[in-house]
Amino acid sequence: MNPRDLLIGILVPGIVAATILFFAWKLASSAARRDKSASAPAAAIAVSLGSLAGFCALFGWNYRPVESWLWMIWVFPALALLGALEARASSTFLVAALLRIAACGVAMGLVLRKLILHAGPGVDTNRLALYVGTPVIAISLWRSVFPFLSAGVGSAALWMVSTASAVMVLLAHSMKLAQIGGALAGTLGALIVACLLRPSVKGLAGALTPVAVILSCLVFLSLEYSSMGYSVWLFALVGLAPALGVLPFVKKPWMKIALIAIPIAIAVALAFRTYDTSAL
Amino acid sequence: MKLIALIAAGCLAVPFALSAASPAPVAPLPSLAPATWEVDAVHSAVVFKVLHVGVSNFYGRFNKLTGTVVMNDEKPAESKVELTIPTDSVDTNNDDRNKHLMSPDFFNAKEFPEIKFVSKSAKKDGDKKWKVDGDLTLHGVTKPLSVVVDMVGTADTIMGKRAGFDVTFKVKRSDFGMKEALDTLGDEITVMAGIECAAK
Repeated sequence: MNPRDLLIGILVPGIVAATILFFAWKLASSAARRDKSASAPAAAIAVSLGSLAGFCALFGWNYRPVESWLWMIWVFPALALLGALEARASSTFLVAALLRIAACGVAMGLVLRKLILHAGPGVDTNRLALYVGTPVIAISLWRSVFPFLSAGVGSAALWMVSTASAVMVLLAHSMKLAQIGGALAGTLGALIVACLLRPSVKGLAGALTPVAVILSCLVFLSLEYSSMGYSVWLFALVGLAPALGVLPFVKKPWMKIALIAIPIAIAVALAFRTYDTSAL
Repeated sequence: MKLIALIAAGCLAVPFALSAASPAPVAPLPSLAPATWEVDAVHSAVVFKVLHVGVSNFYGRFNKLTGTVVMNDEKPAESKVELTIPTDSVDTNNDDRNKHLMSPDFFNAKEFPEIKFVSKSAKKDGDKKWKVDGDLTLHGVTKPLSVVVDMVGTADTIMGKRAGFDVTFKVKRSDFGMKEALDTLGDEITVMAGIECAAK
């Protein structure tokens, strides 16, 4: 990957996400500004559309993709819509759950359709359950953990999870999927700044669904179409790391971030051990 | 005893000496009579080269090849070539690099498991040359490709009737949607194939 792609892949999504968050806050009514949960849909839209901007900047606009990974171009706007609706409906458990499942189902159906439908007539139900179930479980776990993290710690944790996942996807022999992960990390950088300027745990929660679904797409695309030299359970280790931030004996934000970073660093290091850099 | 051993050794040696002095004749076929030839993958090779970081040519190969060749000297227009290479047979003598080439970054072998060439027309271009026009399908993209095939030879061998061909052509991988790492790996790929066929 050349430096230009690196810059475009991270800066463009960050700038787009920051712009969306800025205008969402500016356009919000005074009452909405006082209600910090009102920014949750904006976080979902910023992360999704920022990632879309990064994707298009890197790979162009191809609305009739042939390859599976290129269908991510339709995943991002779907997540912007469904993620925003889910964030708005977060107080209604059933509606939020159905929207969450819909977001996971639409995303996985778009990018992994060939694998779900490949086993002759009908649907490969095992694969369908795995592809849709994994992000649903991840979102549910994160939604139970992140309310106990401050906005700054939570956004930093999301950024670390995304960046580590992008590195590990790169080590699974796919630069393109890693670049998509990098674009996601770029949007989360903007979210960190927004959370520092306007701390809102509820606002951050809107980003959980798009992040979990996008990362799940990248992981399963890597698993099925690239070649992972390491166990897929390392991704689970990365995804579960934010839970360490709720440990009661860890009080200071920087200590929580450091604790969350430990299993993430271990997972990335283990993935690195299997990679032969001489073959580039 | 020594004499008996000497006679026995001589009796055993004579057939070997005779066979070494006069190998079984390989009769060249008078012409490439209309026939369907099947690619003998064991005696064929497909090699490619690409410019690496602008300083050297890097070589790799595909380890598998299947196909049929219908060549008709008398009616060249009825000749046909169909060749298939499994994408996951790419081999660059490095496991990690092979996996990277098979990933969505390059060949995306799981989504596009085959590279195919199907001819549409063929005509003789000299005594032992054929100009073959056809379609090359690579990475899910089909583009026209014209190649010049050199007929190396034909013969009736101990393995049956055999024919051999050499072909070299160039393609731009970006034309087939493979645009990754164009700054480090050349866009133009030179493919060299030596194909031996057995009469069906």
